[in-house]
Amino acid sequence: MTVIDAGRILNPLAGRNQIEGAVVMGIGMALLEHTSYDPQSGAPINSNLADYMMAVNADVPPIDVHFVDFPDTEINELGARGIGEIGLAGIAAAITAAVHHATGVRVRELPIKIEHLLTSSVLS
Amino acid sequence: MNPFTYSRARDPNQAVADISSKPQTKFLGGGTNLIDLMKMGVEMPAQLIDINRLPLAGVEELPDGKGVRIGALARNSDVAAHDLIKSRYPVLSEAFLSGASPQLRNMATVGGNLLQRTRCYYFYDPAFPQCNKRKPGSGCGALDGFNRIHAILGQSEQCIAVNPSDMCVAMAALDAIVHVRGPKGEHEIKFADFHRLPGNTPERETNLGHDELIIASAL
Repeated sequence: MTVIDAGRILNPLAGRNQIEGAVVMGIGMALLEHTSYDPQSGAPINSNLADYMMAVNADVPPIDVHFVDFPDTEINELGARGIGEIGLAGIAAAITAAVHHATGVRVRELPIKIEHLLTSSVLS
Repeated sequence: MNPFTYSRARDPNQAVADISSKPQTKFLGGGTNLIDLMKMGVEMPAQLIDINRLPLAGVEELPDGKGVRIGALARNSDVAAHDLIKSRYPVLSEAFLSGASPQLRNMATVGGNLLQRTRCYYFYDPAFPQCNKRKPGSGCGALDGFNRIHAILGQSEQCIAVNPSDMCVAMAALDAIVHVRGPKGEHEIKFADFHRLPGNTPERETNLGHDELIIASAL
């Protein structure tokens, strides 16, 4: 579940869709997405969509989007704000918090990988 | 672009005869790996022999409880969804479904999957100068490079790449037999003998001869 304060929501259907997309990208940010570089040449080594992993449909659970829907008249008389990327902000943090809850390890690097847990002093 | 010629095989014996004296020729099945590698400039065949119209796509039960025979041109998605495979060899069905995407599984063949090439970054991108598999003797970029997805068992000083196939893991667990047709007729290769460890010849990945065509796998 994700709760968003984006002022007055003018188009709930499109707004929810925007936030759902951001949550999917947040899952990728937390668990998958990373450009790796060859340590010798500095060249990106996963510069294609087969090796650069992104969240796809199979990685995504049902997403429950809620808007606070409180008009923000400080911004404009309409009370509406842009909701471009705000949906992404808390997702990776929520997932790392869930990993901490499950394992006791605070991962402070994204994406979270198994070696972060295997090399943690908490688990050794 | 590297020019190549294209022809279509009419029957397995003719396909084998056509390829036997041509080292730069390859068979084309689903194309999901070979065409990618040709686009990248990793594979540069002078000729492709399209085998898609050969009658090798069947999945059938062998008589006297001798198992199931899967034709080399059976598509990954069709085998994964086949009642015989789902009920008797669920590990194989699950392995298929854990790999790639539906679009790729609809095209990829079982025979081609046996020959799938590694996804080692240094092999796949000719911009990296070192790869003993792509260019024997050039060295291994992965050895001191980014090698998180590479081998922890079976590697050599020449190559630490791994086989990328989910299907092959299940086939190995099921002790599958690979049926092959060559110029001297048909023979069988045990699954454990089909793939080779890299050793000093990482460019040779299987014990399949250049002039041999995979006909089927038997479980």
